[in-house]
Amino acid sequence: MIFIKLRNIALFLCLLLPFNKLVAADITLSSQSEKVHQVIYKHPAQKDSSQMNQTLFETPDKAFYMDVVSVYCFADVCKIDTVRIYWNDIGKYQKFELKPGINLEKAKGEVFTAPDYKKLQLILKDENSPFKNISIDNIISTQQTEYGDIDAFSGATAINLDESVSIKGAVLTVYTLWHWANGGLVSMIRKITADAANSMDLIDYLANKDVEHKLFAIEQLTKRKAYDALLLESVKSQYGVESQKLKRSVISYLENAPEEVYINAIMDLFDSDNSKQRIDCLQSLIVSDTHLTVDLYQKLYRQLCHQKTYHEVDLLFTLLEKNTTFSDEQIDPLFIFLTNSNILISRRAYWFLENKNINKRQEKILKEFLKKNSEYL
Amino acid sequence: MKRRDFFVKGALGVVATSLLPVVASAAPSIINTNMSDRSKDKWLQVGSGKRGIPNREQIIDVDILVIGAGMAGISAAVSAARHGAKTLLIQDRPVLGGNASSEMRVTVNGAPQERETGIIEEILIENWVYNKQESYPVWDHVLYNYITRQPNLKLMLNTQAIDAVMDGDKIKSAICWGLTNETEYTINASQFIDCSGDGLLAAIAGAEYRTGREGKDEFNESYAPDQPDGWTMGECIMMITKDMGRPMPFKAPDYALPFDYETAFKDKHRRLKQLKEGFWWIEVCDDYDIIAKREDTRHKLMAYFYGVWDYIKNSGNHPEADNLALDWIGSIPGRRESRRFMSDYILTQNDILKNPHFEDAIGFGGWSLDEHNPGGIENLSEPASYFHQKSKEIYEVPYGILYSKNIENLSFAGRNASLTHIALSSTRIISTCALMGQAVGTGAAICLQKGINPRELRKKHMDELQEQLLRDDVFIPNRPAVDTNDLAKKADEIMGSSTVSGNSKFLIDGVSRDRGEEIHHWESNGLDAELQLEWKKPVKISRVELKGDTNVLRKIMMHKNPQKNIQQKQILDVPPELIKTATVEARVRGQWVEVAKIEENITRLIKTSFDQVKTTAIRVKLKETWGYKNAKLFEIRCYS
Ligand SMILES: Cc1cc2nc3c(=O)[nH]c(=O)nc-3n(C[C@H](O)[C@H](O)[C@H](O)COP(=O)(O)OP(=O)(O)OC[C@H]3O[C@@H](n4cnc5c(N)ncnc54)[C@H](O)[C@@H]3O)c2cc1C
Repeated sequence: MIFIKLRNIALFLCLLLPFNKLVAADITLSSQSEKVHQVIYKHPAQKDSSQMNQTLFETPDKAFYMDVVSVYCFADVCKIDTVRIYWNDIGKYQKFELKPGINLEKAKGEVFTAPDYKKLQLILKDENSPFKNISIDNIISTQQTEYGDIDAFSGATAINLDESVSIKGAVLTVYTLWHWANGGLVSMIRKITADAANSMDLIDYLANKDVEHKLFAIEQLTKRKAYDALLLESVKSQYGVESQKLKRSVISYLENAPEEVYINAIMDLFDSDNSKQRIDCLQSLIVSDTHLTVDLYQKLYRQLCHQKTYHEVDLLFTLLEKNTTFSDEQIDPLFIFLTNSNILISRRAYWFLENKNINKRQEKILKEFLKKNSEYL
Repeated sequence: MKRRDFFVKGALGVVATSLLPVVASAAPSIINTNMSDRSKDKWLQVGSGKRGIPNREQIIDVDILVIGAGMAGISAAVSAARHGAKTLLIQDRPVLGGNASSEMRVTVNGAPQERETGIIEEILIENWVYNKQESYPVWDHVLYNYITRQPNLKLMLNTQAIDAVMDGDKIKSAICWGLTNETEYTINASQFIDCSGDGLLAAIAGAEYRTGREGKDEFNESYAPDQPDGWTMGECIMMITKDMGRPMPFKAPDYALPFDYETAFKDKHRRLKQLKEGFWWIEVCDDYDIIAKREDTRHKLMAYFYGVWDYIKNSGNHPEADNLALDWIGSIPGRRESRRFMSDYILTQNDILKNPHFEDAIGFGGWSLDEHNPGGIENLSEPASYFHQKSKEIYEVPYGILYSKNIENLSFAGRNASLTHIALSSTRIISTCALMGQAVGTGAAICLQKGINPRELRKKHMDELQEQLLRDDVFIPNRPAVDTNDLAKKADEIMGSSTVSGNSKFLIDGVSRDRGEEIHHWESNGLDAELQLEWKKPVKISRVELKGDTNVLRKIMMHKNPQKNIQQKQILDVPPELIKTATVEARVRGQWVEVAKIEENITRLIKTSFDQVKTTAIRVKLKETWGYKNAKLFEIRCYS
């Protein structure tokens, strides 16, 4: 549940103060025009549900921040500070801040050193840190392991929480902050931004150099089933960016389009001199169970002489095999593959053509192929 | 009481005429060996009306005898049998698993950095199919089912190896006693594998062994005591409690010993962090001969344990225990350390912490040097354990510590391997022991095929052993598989459906798990994924083997306190990433033919075999997993 309110922040805080100790302590007012979002988020280290209401601030330049507790403490012996966490507009963690004079603490009251802060930043930046998939109980028992409660009773997680992925003596703090920075708040921020974005905003996101922003835009457009010409072209053009994830996302956006839109778009992409790109398109055509229209044939066949790798030729034939009857015009051009120097390609064509309805001339070509290549068949 | 060959010959002669008395006293020095001499029996079998003497002697011939069915022995026996050796596994108690059985309920832990695969993983996953409730008595029978269905493998429970018949430096036979059937067995074998922890057979055979703690200087071990001494880590019994929902009184038995909690709690390890599943620091050790003291130790452990529980229940300091009652308490102590048999190499602290590469590596470990205090609960002045240090990465375990340096056909695995006391404090973790077991079982089978002994195997055929282990899904760090018989490696093309991560080419790179950022897998985008291998010229294939994903970074063992796994959100099922349903097809003269079906698969190593086909391509259709949306593989192999 998200409440969005645009208010004078100072006024808002006055109202909030008696109810929310957390916010009250450390907020410094940076701007009058910040948006305040009341969100409900239960941090995985929180024992009870009484403190799930959190206040998330959105700055005019669309960054987000929140003031959070540094640690959910289980032994009641740790010092709790307020840390300000910053995200960008699509919920990607950016940085943390502490009030001047405040220092995070490790076990036995030692304060964080400069390298500790550096490391903390690195850990928080890692969305796929081992902290992602482990529960707080695991952390607690791992801590016990570090201090020795092992042997028969080790609850040690198989995840290695040694110094490379955590900070010695501050595992709980790191765990707590990681889940603030990378936990459920991320999707809330994304939703806030998405809800506020119109199509033109999403096109802007597509134009952003950052792949994550592009992916965000495509995700939203797919959800909205937005396929008008301008959007479609903008998304399609993203296929050229060197990112497998982005390419997959483009294809998946297209696969969710109405059939005609899909076929036209995917065949446009197929019309490329990049073998990998053609493979992606053929794989998509195969899994999406596309009906092979005359038009589609034409588009496919236009590329026949460019098909260079065995993988794409195999996929092409797999796609063609969906049809049961073939006209002579559909069969004849495929004979070109029999002369391919790669035996994997030529014999794939041979086996495809072998049991098709073919004429005498074609039969002869096949026989000759068989004679010449029997050791490969 | 090592038996002489001539004695056994005498005994064997008698077996054929079974109702005659056994003349077993040819060697006058042998006392107490003719347990099966029943010549004084006055037996009238009423049904037949006959008088006679019961036959309590049997001779069994096998290729390989494995003694002790802890997780090391189980792994050894299964791997030996799978490699064609007629194998017998004997276990002196009624259930399987050693310390991991329902008798002690020790958790099957492994290297915390990444999990072991191979036989131990097969068993742990299979347990989730039969025993989602995490019951230890049921686990015993999961093991029983697993072992008894293996071809070539025979299991004898309640059978104890008590003596060795020698032929020079070779063991010819093990003399074993059937505790439930009054029977003395003479078991002849070519290779003997002692995984019994204590190693009675190995000791009687004359294999060199050590007990106690090496001094610092001997192996340059910083954590060893300054001077050598006789201490071994101790023994424990475990418990499980139950919340009855109402106050439960507790009256301590008469022999309970008072618990000096004030002194005990000075060490943070000895505090009562939970009241559900026993306390490993209630431990009794010995500084001379822990084996001889066993029965005294058991009594002491019970006395100390009940003393601690009496303190918890009746001191008033633990109101949280008011509704708790003891639900189970062990009667058989679990043993951490006794004999360590000497091999050509002795693994030391430095091998664990500095992690050198061993050319003869057969597996890995990763637990910290977790050395329990000398004296256990009888020595409250020292911490319960010295958690000295752990190696950051997994360390290699070499084959050179797994056979006797002076008895030719004897291997061992588990806690009795060739280790220093300090090294054992890490390697004793059960899955590490199981990897050793799989290595010696496989090794013994290869020895048998070649007519050699383990030392020669190590010298001349280590590659073959390593290749076999890798094929069987053991992970050996820094040793990629290069099996020249694997036709997948010779394929001219390997390609797969649309991919979310990795690459189909990685499936033949010989490394069957990711190494941090270094990827060795192929993961499809969605299911009904396909993988295809092509050869220019037809090849003959009758086996296709895959390695799937079980996420080796996740824990999968059950726990005697199932609540713990629930709290830690452990997956209590077959790993969702694992392939459940698939088919293998071969292209024969242009036509795809289905040659194998994989259904309800629960193993990471998925093996198929079929009538040999001459083919130019193999296609694997990966149809279903145990829950994960994509198909993920680490390896594909094809064999003639
Ligand atoms: C209390 C305790 C807690 C522990 N906690 C853990 C833990 O949490 N995780 C972990 O991984 N490890 C733990 N360990 C260590 C681990 O249990 C052992 O190191 C491991 O079980 C050794 O395995 P093994 O197969 O070598 O021997 P064992 O498990 O000891 O099995 C040997 C088997 O051989 C049988 N046997 C013995 N002599 C003969 C004979 N003469 N003939 C036939 N059979 C024989 C025995 O009955 C036994 O079943 C613990 C150990 C103890 C004692």
